[in-house]
Amino acid sequence: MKHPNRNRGQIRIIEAFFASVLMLSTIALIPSQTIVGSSNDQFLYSMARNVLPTLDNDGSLSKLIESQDWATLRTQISLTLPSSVWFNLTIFDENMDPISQALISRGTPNGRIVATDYVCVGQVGNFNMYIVRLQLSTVG
Amino acid sequence: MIITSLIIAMLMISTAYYVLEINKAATMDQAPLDSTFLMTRPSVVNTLINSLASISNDSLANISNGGDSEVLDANLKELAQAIQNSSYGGQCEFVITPLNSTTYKNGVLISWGDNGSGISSVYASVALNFSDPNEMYSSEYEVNVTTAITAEGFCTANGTQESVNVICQLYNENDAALANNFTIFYQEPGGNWTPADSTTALNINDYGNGTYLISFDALAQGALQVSVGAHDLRNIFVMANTTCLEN
Repeated sequence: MKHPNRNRGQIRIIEAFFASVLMLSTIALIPSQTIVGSSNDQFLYSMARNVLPTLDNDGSLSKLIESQDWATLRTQISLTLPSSVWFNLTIFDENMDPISQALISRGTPNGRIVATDYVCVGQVGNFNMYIVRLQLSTVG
Repeated sequence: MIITSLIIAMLMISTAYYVLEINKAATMDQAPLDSTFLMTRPSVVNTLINSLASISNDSLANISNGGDSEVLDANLKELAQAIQNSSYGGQCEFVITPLNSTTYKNGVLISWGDNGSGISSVYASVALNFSDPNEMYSSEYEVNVTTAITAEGFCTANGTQESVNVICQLYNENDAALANNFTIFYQEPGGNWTPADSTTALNINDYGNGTYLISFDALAQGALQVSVGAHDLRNIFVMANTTCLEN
């Protein structure tokens, strides 16, 4: 003998299950968009971390800073980064006073900007330290 | 029905969240910290080069000194502080420790012997201990900067003089390296050290691969002591003394 009330109860539970799946899938869609944003940040951040140590491997970064050759410095960083990436470089002394008056930059930023600080030391001469701040974003 | 669906949804969310947290704890995203830590390496190497240049040139002025390590210690402390201030959040300890061993004293080895070889070297280990509420990280690497020279020579009697030929090889961290300049002295029969220069027909032949043939005339008879000092392109000084036997 069939019990219509029991069947109805089972159907309700199945409905509830589908409703919860619907709710979950809606929730799942929201963070997936932020993941796309943060993976781009990670990509930019990874580039920012690599550019300056690579330039400094042979001590050329500190030489360019000490000779205040900002044009060559800008060119070298431009060559290292993809053309789709905006950058801005600021150089500070040990007391965090900026020493680069010229704008060492390329393009216009679009979206989030990531930044990394690199401590640069001169190989030759007096022991001078510089804090080099590299900001990256996608070109607008 | 709404209450049941909410309960099921909460159960599923909490399970998903738990799995997510477990995964996060397992991977703990070490890669950014690793690369941030490793990006300090050029700064440490440049600090060691700068300090060794200073120490070796001071030792040249006062050879009995054997390398004052205070410069290295002060520079490394300053660098460690700057890196710690600029690179990391959380509870962070960035430490650079000069090596103490049978050969290195406070990270410095200056050995300019009479056996035809000389070494100017510094050695330090770098460690990072980092922790914040989400993760713990610990890693270390070692950095060595060494300039070495070998000198081997002979002399040929030429009337009242000796024609001296010395073959020198210069190294940076075991790789052939170029010299910025040389300083050569020879010991006269009376014991005085005399510089070899243009007045003694000094000629330095650069083979371009870290090998140099140095030749000059010395007012001496028989075997003589020759001292060869060199600055490499990093301004680190190194010296070797050798005995040139007569051919």
